[in-house]
Amino acid sequence: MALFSRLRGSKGPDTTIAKAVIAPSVLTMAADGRIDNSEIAQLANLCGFSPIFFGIEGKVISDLINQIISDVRAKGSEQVLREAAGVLSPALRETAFCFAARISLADGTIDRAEEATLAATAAVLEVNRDVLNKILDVVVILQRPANA
Amino acid sequence: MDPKEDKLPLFSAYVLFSEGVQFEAAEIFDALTEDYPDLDVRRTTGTFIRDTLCDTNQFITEGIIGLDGEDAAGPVQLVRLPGYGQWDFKALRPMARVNCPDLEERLARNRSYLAISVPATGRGLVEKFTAARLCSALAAVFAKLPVALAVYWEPADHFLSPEKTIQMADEALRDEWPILQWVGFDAGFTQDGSVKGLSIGMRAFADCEVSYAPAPVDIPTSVTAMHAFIWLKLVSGNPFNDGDTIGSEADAVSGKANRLRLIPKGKEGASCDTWLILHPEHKAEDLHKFVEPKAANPPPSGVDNNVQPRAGFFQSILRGRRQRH
Repeated sequence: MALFSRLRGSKGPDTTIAKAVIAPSVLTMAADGRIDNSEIAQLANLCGFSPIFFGIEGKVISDLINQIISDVRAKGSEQVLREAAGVLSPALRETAFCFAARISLADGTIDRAEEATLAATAAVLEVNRDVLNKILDVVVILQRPANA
Repeated sequence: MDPKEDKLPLFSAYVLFSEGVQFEAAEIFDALTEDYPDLDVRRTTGTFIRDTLCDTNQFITEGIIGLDGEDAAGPVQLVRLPGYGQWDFKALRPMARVNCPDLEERLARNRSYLAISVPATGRGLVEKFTAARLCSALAAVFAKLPVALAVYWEPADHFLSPEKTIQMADEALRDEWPILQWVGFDAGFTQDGSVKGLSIGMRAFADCEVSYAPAPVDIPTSVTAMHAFIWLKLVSGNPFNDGDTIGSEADAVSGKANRLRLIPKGKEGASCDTWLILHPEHKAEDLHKFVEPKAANPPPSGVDNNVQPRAGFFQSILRGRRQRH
């Protein structure tokens, strides 16, 4: 529900932070050379429960993902990651890493390419080693199968 | 008289939203005059005009804006009722979709809507234009919101993107006719590969429609011919008679001009008068059911009976009316 007076004149919410938060996730998804629809759906689900994305429509999130992919093609992964880190606070850099880890572990395992991407991401985002381990521990716990 | 004919023409637009929108009628009036300061409209006060908080996620039955002024029409109604505002993309005519790219995806995101209705204050062309323009401007006010997905322009039975809706209002505010938005076109192939067409919504302005009889042409040719006829009738004010020809001067010289035949209301179930455009090679084999044969009646030698279009005709009527008030 939106108020006419608030919507009027607005061009939609500022997506700078949102785009930076999902950039590491998109890079992780693209680590194996391709992004499939199920990965995009998983990222969209993650965004749906995050207050960072409140008021940002799914279509806009899809557009942001496409923009990041275009940016990677134009500037390279490292530059995209550095630009994302540049607009995020230390707390939100942890959130961005947490998103990326969650996407990496969506299938319950991390392959070598994803592991390397995650390590590089953590370095550029300057995520503290202890925090990084905590994030990975929680994500692994979240992804335990029924027979664990 | 048919009770339906007794009613004044009504123009309606449904604005589709990706989420509910809350507003008061006063806010909409303020937005209208802010976006379109050239519109001469003032709010009226009266017992039937209420400032109610309207919510497009709820029923809206009292969103009424009474307006006075040169560019006002009948009372504007902003309505949301149950059972409306949903469309099945696959059931739409193909040409109902052409003015709104990504319509299927937009309809899938449709969560709420608002119907805007503006009645004309009379049966004259100026009164109808004024009501359609006010309805367009109000639709554009809502179409500018970031949650606006599309606009269904009811008289033409077609969808407009928010951008096309704004373009429609801007054009009408310049006293021009946004024919492609106000009138819908249906054109398609017959079984023998001919193309036929029909206008949808011209009757809101001129109590008639135009149809393109099956002919060996492409779809753009049929739509262009119908559009030209509408422009000549509404904007240029050219009167037409049953049997007239229509086309460029070159067509007239070569004898390849289209011929117009008038199918009167009621003939073979026609719900209003219909002008039929006949291409010289038309395939309307059942034409005799609709019109009597008519022999060509060329003018005497040396007499030029061609009628030229009058580009500023409608604007002159509109401005003349303003000066009289």
